[in-house]
Amino acid sequence: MTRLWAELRERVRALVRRRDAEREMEDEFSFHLEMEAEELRRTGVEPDEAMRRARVAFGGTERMKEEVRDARGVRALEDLAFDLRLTFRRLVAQRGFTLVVVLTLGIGIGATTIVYGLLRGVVLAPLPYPDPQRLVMMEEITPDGSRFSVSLPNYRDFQREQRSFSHLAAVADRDVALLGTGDPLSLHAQSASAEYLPMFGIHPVLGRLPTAGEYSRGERTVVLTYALWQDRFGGTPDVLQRAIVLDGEPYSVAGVMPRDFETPGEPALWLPLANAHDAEREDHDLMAIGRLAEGVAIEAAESDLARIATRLGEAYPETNSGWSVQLTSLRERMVGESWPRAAWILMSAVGLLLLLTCVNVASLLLARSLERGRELSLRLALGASRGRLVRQLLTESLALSGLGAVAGIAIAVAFLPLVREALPADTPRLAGVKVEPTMMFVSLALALAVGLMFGMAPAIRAARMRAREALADHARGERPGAGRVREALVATEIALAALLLAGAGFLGTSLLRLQAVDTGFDTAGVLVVPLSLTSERYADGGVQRMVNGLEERLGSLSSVSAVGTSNVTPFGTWGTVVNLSVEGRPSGPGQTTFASWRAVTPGFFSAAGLRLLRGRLLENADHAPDAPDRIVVTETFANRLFPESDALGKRVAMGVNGTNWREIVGVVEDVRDLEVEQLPAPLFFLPGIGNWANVTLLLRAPGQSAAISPAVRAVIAELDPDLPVPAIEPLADRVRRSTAGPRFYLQVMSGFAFVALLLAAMGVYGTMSYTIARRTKEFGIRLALGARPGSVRRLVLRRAAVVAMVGLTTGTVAAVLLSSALGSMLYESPGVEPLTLAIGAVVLAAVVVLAALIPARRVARISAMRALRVDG
Amino acid sequence: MAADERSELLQGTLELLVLRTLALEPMHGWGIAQRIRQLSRDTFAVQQGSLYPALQRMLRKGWISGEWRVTENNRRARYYALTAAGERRLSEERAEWERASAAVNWVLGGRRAGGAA
Repeated sequence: MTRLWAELRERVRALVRRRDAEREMEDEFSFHLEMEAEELRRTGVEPDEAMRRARVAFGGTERMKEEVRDARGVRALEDLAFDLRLTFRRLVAQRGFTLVVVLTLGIGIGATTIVYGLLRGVVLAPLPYPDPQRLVMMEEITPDGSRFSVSLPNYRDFQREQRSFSHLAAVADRDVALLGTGDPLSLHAQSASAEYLPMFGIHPVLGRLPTAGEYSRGERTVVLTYALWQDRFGGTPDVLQRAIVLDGEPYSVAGVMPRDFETPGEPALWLPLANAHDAEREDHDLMAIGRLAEGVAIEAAESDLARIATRLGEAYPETNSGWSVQLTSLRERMVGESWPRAAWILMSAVGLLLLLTCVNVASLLLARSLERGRELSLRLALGASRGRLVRQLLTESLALSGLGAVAGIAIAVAFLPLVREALPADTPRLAGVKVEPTMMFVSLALALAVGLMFGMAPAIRAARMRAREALADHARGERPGAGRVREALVATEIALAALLLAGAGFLGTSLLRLQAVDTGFDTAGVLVVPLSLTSERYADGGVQRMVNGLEERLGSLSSVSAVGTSNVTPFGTWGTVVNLSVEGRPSGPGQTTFASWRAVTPGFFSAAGLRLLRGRLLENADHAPDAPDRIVVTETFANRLFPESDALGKRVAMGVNGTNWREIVGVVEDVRDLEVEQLPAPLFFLPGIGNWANVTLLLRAPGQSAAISPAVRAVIAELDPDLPVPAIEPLADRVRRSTAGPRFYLQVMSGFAFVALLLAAMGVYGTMSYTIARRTKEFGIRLALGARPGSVRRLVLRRAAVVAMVGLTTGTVAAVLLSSALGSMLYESPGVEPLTLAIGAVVLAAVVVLAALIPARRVARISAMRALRVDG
Repeated sequence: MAADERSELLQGTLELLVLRTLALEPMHGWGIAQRIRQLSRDTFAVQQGSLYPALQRMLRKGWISGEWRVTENNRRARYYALTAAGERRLSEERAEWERASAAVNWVLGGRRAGGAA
């Protein structure tokens, strides 16, 4: 016990009184040496010789000191403190180096963390409901294999006969006007079946969910989102006692959902789905979502529904023959198809960038460590233990990596809001994009690994060599092996930069192609005014009357040159599709002809700027109530349906067994009115808005589009003061938004490519400077022997050119190989794009040459005499 | 490996020698070194500096204590003295040493081992 105590006391004393202990040791050693020398002098040795012999007998004092320090037993702690102090001093002394390494690592880690946050939040994160993997989206599949919404009668049959779901719900989008709570407000709502809200397994924060009984009795009850409750009802509980007015009808509020409850379509409230008994099997307008029963696999549920689909096909051959059903995980369906692809590609790109930053840091550390070779061998010669040196280098590497990781986290936290801002507004689950600790740790681990690997290399070498050898070795200059490693690292950097540059190039040319797409619209000066005319005053032809009134009033405004209306908002979220019958062709199972259709007013064509190819456009006369039914079709429609003859004069009817024949009177150029990326579908225009509640006005007001909005609002308010104020927007903005995704990918990729270019340039510059510094003596000799500065410079540049070529070639070949992976993200990719690759390679080569030339100029300034005096 | 074993052996021997030296009287480092040289009849040819790490280890183990005093020639020196723990250690070590060297002697030629001074 006492011994333990003594030992502890001695250790603490050693730690606390380190300085005293050091001084005591010095005193003790010099006392010893003096005594020994004195003893020798007494035997007649000369004083100087006596001291020398005393030292020899004593052994290396520095080594002995080290051993005494070790024997104190507090080395680990003491050394750590010492190493940290030393590291800190070194890092401060080499500010430039430290800053570059920390920033490089920081950019790599920060970018990776952000992109992973994106991937995780948008694509990978599970849906925020209990047992989310059991939620599936159900879609009907047309006989020609495309996905379709579900029709109400079909849904009712599926729902009744299925044996695989605990809930099978249907929901339809619906816009409603909310009156009586301030300004009239147009709300995006959903009509939901009784199973819909309970299916998610989330309880309301206030009130309850309506019962199935209430739904089937057709009672008017709604459930509000938290946001709507807060914004319009003050967030007070008495909303449950109030009646609210939607489209002029009173509803009672059953409950309010929690703040973070998000559902597909993001409605503001849920109404009961009308149990219309006259709904057509052909009208596919419902989104069906189900919760699989416990333990039922998605495939089993699908075959269960397929059985029902087959039965329906037999029972209703006209509408259901050949149709089947598909189930998809709700998460996948909500995320969509393009996002997972895009997010994974961005993740791969940022992975390359992280790799590049690591390579860059590795080459920086390697250069630094070679410079330190001399310092290390000197310390070794002076008696530092090898373990001690390794520990010191370890501390330095870890400190650098640690700082890099901190910088990375700071960058991620600072830039994530900006990235979220830059994301396309229709990005699914945008709110879930955040800094993910997992990725931070992975990046940190990677940074540490790089720091250790390349920071330790010289330490391991130092540990292997003897001090004298080390000094001698150093005097000989750089070891050839180390130069190879550095060159390989720089070549890797150039290759990675070439790859990222090519990626950005491919996305860039793809975006250029996309922006050059002719949508068929002439967007200049066109405003889009979406209206939802849902209240009861628009029943019985009220919509058409309102549209006529609006067009008349707005058309008379002096700056408006054309005004027209469509039932579909250009570049909005949905369009209308119908199954057509063609006159003279047999219809029946398997004979389906789908075409998009738009109900328009006569002014629509000139307001939208559609170009007529043949025949004529729809005119006022075609809108007369007793006029013969006539339509205008697009080129694709004409070519697809009538490949062998002229479409003009042919007749088609809506519906599988349609009889209301409509004559084609004109063909216009193709139109892309939903997404720029989507190839034009067969589309036709028919006259008259009918009773379509959602209508969109297009106003052509050349040069006046911004100033005219207040006048438009005034006209609308005059005609219907209760109508919610619409969001008026230039058509060009909507088109632009449709390409927001590709633009965002390009921005990110360009950012990566730019950083990659910078890092590659840094790598080349660093290596060149270093090589030149190391070979100054050799160059001096060459110059002294009569070599011209130009030829010496060429010598240096030739080596750099070889490295650059190797990197460039590797990177370009890899880019060609990987371009197919990017292909799915590219618009109409022509395959390998030699021009894009060439431009990227030229840019990279130029940057590399520049980075090599700057240090190479120094060669010319080497003076032979001074170079020869350079030590080392 | 072989080098490590030998130095370990030497270390143990050195500690035993220091303990024996200090059993006579407190002594400073140089004095201990001189005494060891005489005791081992100059066969113990390690560098004198190696003494100090050994002293530091023994201080830590509580076998000896150190104190700065003035020598007879009026110089400051650190004197080491045996503690109670050190004395116990010495008798243990001595017994151990005698057993071991007796065994070695017996193996090497059956000559009767004599206690070393």
